[in-house]
Amino acid sequence: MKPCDNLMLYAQGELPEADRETFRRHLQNCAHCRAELKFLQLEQEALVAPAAPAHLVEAVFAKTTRQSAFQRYKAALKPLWSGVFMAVLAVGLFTGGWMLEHRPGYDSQEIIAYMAENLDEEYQTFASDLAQLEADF
Amino acid sequence: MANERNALTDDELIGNFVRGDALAFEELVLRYKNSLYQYILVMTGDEGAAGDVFQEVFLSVYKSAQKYQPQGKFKAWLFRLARNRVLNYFRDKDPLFSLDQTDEEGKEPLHEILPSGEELPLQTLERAELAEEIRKAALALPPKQREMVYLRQYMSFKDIAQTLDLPLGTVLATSHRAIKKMQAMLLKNREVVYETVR
Repeated sequence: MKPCDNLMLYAQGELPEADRETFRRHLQNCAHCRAELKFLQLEQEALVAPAAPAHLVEAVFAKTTRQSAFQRYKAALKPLWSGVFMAVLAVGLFTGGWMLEHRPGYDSQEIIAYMAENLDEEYQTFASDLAQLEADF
Repeated sequence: MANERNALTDDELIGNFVRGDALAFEELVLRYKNSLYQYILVMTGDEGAAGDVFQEVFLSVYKSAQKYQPQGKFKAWLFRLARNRVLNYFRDKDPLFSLDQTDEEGKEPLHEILPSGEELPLQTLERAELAEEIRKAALALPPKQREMVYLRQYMSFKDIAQTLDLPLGTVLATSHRAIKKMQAMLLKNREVVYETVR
């Protein structure tokens, strides 16, 4: 491993103490590492984090530690409402299933026979109504 | 009391928060707001998205603080949360997106980017102007290298390795490559790099 390979760790302050002095001595003789180190210092200055927008920090606080009493109440009830919804859904599904299972049975033949039996009577009623209508006009 | 909180470690603060001290959470937000916002902003490149992700990350910390194992790695945990949110943001737009994608230039041997020992043209720039050049170069890096450059401003190489779940050697190599590439960009754009220490 060449001494120059320790540059990044040295610049970041992460080079073990034992190697730091050795690298300092290397720096005195290596113009390339000195230039690189200068660049890393300039880079650090250039990329310093600007302040985060205050409204974002306020928004985080408003949604967490500074929630209003109503918001806290709403948040606390949220799981309860979910539970109520699930319970209503379960009861609905159960009832629907039960009603489907126990729906009144019917005999299709019986219904056809009933309709055939009453058809003539219904026709007669309709024909009579029609005749009455024509008479009225 | 505020000063007392200021002196507490991240792990102590999150422990206090879990035990009911809401202001301990606020101290953590204040401690990391700037670096976290900058990281999210440079990774997403979109102020609106950065604001949303920033809030999501701290809401996530607020809700899942109890899951945090106090091992002195809060910063790595926080930035990993942010990184996952940034990834989700991009994956919503492109399901195949990865921050680890390397551009072709990133695979080039270093000597092809900037020959070792090359005499760099020296010219003194105004400090502010040079800082602006450096910021532009950092933002022009491919995502993986850009991430490395910015994370290096907030944490140690060891913490970066933990955050990104990468070997330390890989982190060092990628950081070095990123620096070389930034220098190459400065050279190319302005034919000026930096003044040497005399």
